[in-house]
Amino acid sequence: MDYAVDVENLSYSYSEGTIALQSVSFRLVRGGSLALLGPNGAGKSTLLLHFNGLISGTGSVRILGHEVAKENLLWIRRNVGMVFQDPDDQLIMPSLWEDVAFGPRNLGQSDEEVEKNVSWALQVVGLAGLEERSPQSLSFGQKKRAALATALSMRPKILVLDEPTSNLDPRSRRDVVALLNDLHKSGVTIILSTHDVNLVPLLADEVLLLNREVIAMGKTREIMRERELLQEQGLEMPLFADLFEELRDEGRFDGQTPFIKSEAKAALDEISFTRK
Amino acid sequence: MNPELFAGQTSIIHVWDPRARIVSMSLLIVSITSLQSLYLALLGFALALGFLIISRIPLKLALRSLKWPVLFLAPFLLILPFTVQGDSELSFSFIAISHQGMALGALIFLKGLAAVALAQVMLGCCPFTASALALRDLGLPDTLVQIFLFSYRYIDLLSQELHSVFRSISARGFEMQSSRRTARVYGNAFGTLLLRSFARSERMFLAMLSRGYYGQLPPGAPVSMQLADGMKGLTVVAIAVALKLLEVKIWTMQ
Repeated sequence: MDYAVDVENLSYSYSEGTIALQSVSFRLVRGGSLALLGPNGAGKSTLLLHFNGLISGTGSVRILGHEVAKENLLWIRRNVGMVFQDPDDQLIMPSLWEDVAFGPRNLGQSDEEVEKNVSWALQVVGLAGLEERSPQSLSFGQKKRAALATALSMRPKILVLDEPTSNLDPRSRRDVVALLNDLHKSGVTIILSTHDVNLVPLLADEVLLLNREVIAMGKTREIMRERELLQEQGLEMPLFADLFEELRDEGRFDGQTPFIKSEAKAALDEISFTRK
Repeated sequence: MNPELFAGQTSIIHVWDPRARIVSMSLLIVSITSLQSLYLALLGFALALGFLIISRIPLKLALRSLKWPVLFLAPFLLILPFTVQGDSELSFSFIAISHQGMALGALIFLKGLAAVALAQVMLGCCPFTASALALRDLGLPDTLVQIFLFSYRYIDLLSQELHSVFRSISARGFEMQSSRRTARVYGNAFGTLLLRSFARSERMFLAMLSRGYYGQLPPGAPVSMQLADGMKGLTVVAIAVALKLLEVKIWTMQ
């Protein structure tokens, strides 16, 4: 099997001794999409940093078959694009164009390649035309998309996103979801961490429930209907699934659990039809 | 002053190679700020205004960005006439305004404004990164250039964080007073800001590493200087030298 990410027995402790990750093992196939879910302090961001070789614990992390190790770091960073939670941590240059060109230039790309990749990344995130703007003059939603462009311009095969929709207004959130879905369809492997349980069915095929150790991993539609399991971790079910699972418990619904609006509408139609 | 405020315009200064511009304009600034003659300082100020006009920097915006330097320099103009001993120009009871004080105040004021106006022309006509990379091409260590670049971006962010820290303490009813408690609260607020800045710089460094950063700025495209760039630079250097020669001539005539 061709794995994008293969983590085996990964443990990590902070310098003051706090255990962040304990014997974490999982695999994600190439082209897959995975959401890391867990309460605050569960180690989600710490795990994501391992995929880019930014920190290293004990155990093994393999990216597209390559061990994450010092001698592979440039290869790893070329193939794993990282988007941090706070875009202001990522946007470091005085203009948007230079920020998006920062990664490709570090990779030693030619001027033509840099220009091509920067234009493409800005086009994809919908910020073409704002090349000369300074990052501080962008709105928060634009900054989030700009941060995504800084990773995309390196043409990564794997995209790692820490809370990609946090603090976004509904419209910007929708834009980011659509954008990530398009990237996923184009073959990019997506790994994201989030607290937003309603976002998970829209973006990920698989879910890894993490609380310093792996609590559960499986298909999104299986994990996200496990009310007790989610509640134990301080999480909740997605809104539609929660409602229809309650209706199921009351004997008023026996279809497939809906996770998104269109599925919920179909499920409602089914209930109305049964009543008639 | 936002050094990139006028980068979008086009003029003879905008198309001038930043390396030649920085070297020659810096020499002109040094030449003007070292003048001791009030008349030549006035000429230097007029030259600076001339450069501003040639650069097509909108005069309204340029004057607006001179607001803070004027506020900083105005005290020299207002205080020195009363404090420098010399030939009395005017006197009211115990207050005397000296001729030398007025001249010195005006000299400092004019030279200061000329320097700031020329700095606007020097740095404001191209993106800040182009100026910073030009400094690197001129031999400034890469580390210093990176500090300039990243500071430029993060000054704004730090001011936002400072603002949020002070908004947070104001929201909880804090009012500034001349008391030990105020000093303690301010100390804590700046301490918080320091810790936040430290945490942010760590996250920022990780974000840079994730994009292949290896401790040095990636090289920009090599740009060769044209004859026109050199000629412009030589003209500005000639003006700087001429000002100093004029000053020497005035001294020898006295």
